[in-house]
Amino acid sequence: MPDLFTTVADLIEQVADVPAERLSPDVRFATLTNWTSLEALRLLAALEDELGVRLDLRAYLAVTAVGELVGLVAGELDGAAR
Amino acid sequence: MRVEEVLLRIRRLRRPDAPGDPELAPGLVHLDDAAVTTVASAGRLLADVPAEKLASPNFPLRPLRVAITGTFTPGTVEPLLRVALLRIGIAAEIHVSGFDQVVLDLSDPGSALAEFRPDVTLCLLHDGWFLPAEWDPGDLGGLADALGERAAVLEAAVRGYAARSDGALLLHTVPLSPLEHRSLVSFRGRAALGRVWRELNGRLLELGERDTTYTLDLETLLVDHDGPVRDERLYRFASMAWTPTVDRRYAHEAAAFCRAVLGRTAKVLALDLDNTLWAGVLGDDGLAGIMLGADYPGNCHRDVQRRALALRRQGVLLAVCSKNDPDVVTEAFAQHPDLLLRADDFVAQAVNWGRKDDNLRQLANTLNLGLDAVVFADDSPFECELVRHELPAVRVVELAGDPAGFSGRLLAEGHFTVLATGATDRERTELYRARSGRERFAATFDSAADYLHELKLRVTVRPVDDLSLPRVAQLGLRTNQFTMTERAHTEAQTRQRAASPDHLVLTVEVTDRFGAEGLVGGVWLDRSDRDAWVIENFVLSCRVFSRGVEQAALHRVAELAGSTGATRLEALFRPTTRNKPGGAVWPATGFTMASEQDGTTRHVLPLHPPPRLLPAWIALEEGDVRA
Repeated sequence: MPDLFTTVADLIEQVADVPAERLSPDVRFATLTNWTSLEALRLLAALEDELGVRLDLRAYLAVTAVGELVGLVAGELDGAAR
Repeated sequence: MRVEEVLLRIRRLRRPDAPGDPELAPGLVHLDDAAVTTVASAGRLLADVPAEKLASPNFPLRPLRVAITGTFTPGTVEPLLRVALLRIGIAAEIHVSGFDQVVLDLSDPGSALAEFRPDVTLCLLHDGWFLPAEWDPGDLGGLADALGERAAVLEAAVRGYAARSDGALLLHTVPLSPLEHRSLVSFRGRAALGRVWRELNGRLLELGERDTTYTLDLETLLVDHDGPVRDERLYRFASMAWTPTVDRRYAHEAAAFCRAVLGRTAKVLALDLDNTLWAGVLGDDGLAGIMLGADYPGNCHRDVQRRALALRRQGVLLAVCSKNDPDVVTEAFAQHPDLLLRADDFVAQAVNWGRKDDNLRQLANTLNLGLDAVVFADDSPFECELVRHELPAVRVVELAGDPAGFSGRLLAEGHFTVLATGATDRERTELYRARSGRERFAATFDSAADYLHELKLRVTVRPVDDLSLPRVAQLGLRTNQFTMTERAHTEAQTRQRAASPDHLVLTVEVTDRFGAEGLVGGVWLDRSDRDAWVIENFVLSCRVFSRGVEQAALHRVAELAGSTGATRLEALFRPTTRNKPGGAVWPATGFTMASEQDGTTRHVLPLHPPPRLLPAWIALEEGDVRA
């Protein structure tokens, strides 16, 4: 099973057509080409679909960097496992 | 093609210098089970790919201009619609409007949508647009009036648009959020709200009865949709009224509508018989043994017949495409009390042992229809794959898994969807029957062996062992079609022969790229005369007919006999009412009839020079045989 960062990066690649290898934890979403709130919502749907989590939209929209998002998802997965 | 490969091929096509990929558009069916996010990605990537790069003579793409507008933000439907359309042979140019533009788009002759001049306009509607922001649960009459006013606004826009444009317009019924239902505390109130809401939907349905306006009954289609219609977060944050999976369902239905607008409706349904129209194998189980009565699983197959009959009554032509003995099938259609379909319901019957792709080609020719007008429904993955591969234009419905799902599968794709039916549709079957006569297709065996090559068939012939003995004996006793006698060896006789040095019992197993078929045949040999091995019986399951398995098995038998010094193979054949397919193997593999005695014929094949019976597409695996 790939680690969480890889999964998230692959999904970002899918929704925004950004090569996953260009992504690192400190890449900020605002710097991605064509990143708008529409891509953000697509990514939300993709994450929830793929990982079976449900994120708080407020916390999600506050996220600015890829690593932060991985942290948010990890926390949610943790909570779900407990 | 796997999902990853589909995406890779799309990415490759987007390079400006990339050559075309004629397999991609029909290959999009491989996204059917992919996550909706993946399909949407594919759809967005495909937006930049020119239609010429996707075109192919086997899978022609038709252009269509489609506009999407709505009462909410409809953009998320676009990529899913693009995939759904390409998948069925439509290369669409798609115009998408922004949030809540529908009334403006339809009523302003100078709107961007009007200027796009769409062939099809899809209007996506949601409950929040019809409901007033505030309404009094104690005054449902007032609510009904408010809904009526909103509907009137939409109606005026639709009528105005229909008068100016010759494109088709698709509305749909609107599901009401359960949140509204639960906002009322009384059961009576909730029921009354339901009625008021259904009046609105009734009006939307009525709107679709005139001009070039049509209404999709989405409320009904969402009954078996998995999950909520809207995600409250996306609804509140971004005015998205549908979840991605509802987007996808809608795109699927809208694509079928577009196909109907283009008149690309399938006209013929070619049906397999065994394990499709009934449970069981007619040739083996007999008329009394097949199941299609009131109980499971027969009732599932009976329901398939019911749906097929309903299609026929609406103008779809039915045909039979089955590997069977024609006389047995004729008898079944004439005599079985539980069959809903009768011989008269079919315009043609291709009942033979030939290849189904050949039969379908001939069927289309006889009816003077294109192959893309043919839907082929079969339970066998082998036949389905064969037809998909040889005839990509034919639409294949694979009736896999539990038969309870067969009717759903048959109808889910909307292959036969038309905009409206008329009186001549009812009589179409009679018209065609009169034209083509009651044509029955001749058996056709020919060379298109490349498919069989791709199957990577492996046949293993080996002596029976303790594990396989009961199974091969069972197979011998059960098989009625590919067998040489009605007096097959019992398990005890088979056991005796397996232990005797004067006899040999071989099993035949088949594996192909779809997996193992397992034990599919058996050969009972008498080798007491060292000069001539005698095949007492040879049985083969009808699952593997017409693939050369029988030749491969006999090739191995000839090798074995030759290696012990035998100079000829002899085979006995005793005709029964059903074993014509079995008897045909002897002349087909070069045996000549030598004698007849008491209804049994004896066929001989010399072993010098060693006969080459092995088809080029089959690999024969060595079984360990002690001579």
